[in-house]
Amino acid sequence: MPLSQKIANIMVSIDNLPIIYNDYLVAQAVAVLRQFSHRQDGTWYGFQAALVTEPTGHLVGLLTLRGLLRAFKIRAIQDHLLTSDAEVFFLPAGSNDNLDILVRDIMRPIGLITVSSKDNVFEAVRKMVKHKINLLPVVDDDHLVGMVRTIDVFWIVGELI
Amino acid sequence: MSKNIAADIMVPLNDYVSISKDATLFDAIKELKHAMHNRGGAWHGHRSVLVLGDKGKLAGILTMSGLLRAAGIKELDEDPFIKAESWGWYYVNKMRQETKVRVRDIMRPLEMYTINSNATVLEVALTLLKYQVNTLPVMQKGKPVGIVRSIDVFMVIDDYFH
Repeated sequence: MPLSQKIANIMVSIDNLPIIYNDYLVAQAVAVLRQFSHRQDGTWYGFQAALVTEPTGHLVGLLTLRGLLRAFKIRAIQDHLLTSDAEVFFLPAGSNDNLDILVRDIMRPIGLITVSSKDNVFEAVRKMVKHKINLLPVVDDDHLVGMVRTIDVFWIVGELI
Repeated sequence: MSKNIAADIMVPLNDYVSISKDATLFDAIKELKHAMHNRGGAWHGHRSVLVLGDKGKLAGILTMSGLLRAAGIKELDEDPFIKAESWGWYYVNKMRQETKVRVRDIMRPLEMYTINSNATVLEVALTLLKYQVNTLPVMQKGKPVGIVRSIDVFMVIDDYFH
């Protein structure tokens, strides 16, 4: 019955997603994303996000396009701090001395907003709308098994209407 | 040739499918779906539709997530009596029946968030973040000339982070 479509049927498997480390520089992360995707005739092949792990392999976050935009913002703040006349100059806690922007500074922590592959697809719609996100991790028994995107959900909703 | 401003990285308007502001929510979904297709593991087609108003002028933009949001999910989400399985049924029916909901009621109006064609790539990135959107209409002398997206910034990010 179409209305009981499960997320397992529409999600992108974890096997197809690039993985990067949280201490990568922005440029390194971008290089990996480019490797996993390419642009041809105006169409983007591949995925616009990467899984972020600690060097140990423990999953800690997601890096989306939004995260890469945040790098621009951090850079703008750094430039402002460096060129301002402020007598007191401080950097946010935890930042490194050389002002390099790392994946951990811009990623979305994996968090509690997830769905299970056995959930109904509408559970994905509900969470995406509620939390204003375009990418949801699919977690079964504490294991990440895939991701579901707005476009995957939109397609199935379009089929059902 | 380096790409430094919105005009250098934007997508031309005529790349996009357009729909009338008086079309229904249902029409919009069908139209966007029709414009998309999956071939070779990739989605072809854009993920937004341009909304045209009087005299065919651009009146707004309707994104995929905007469409999903449109079916009054907020009310459904807050109803304690609807279970997840039957939620889907209510949602689909609402989408089908909302013949009174027109695109103009759910679109993002053109004037809401825009960026100038000579804004720098940095300004494009900051504006996308500020408004929490992935798409911005690009204006030149008060007229829309293209659309710039997060992915267009990504395509030139090597020039800024290396």
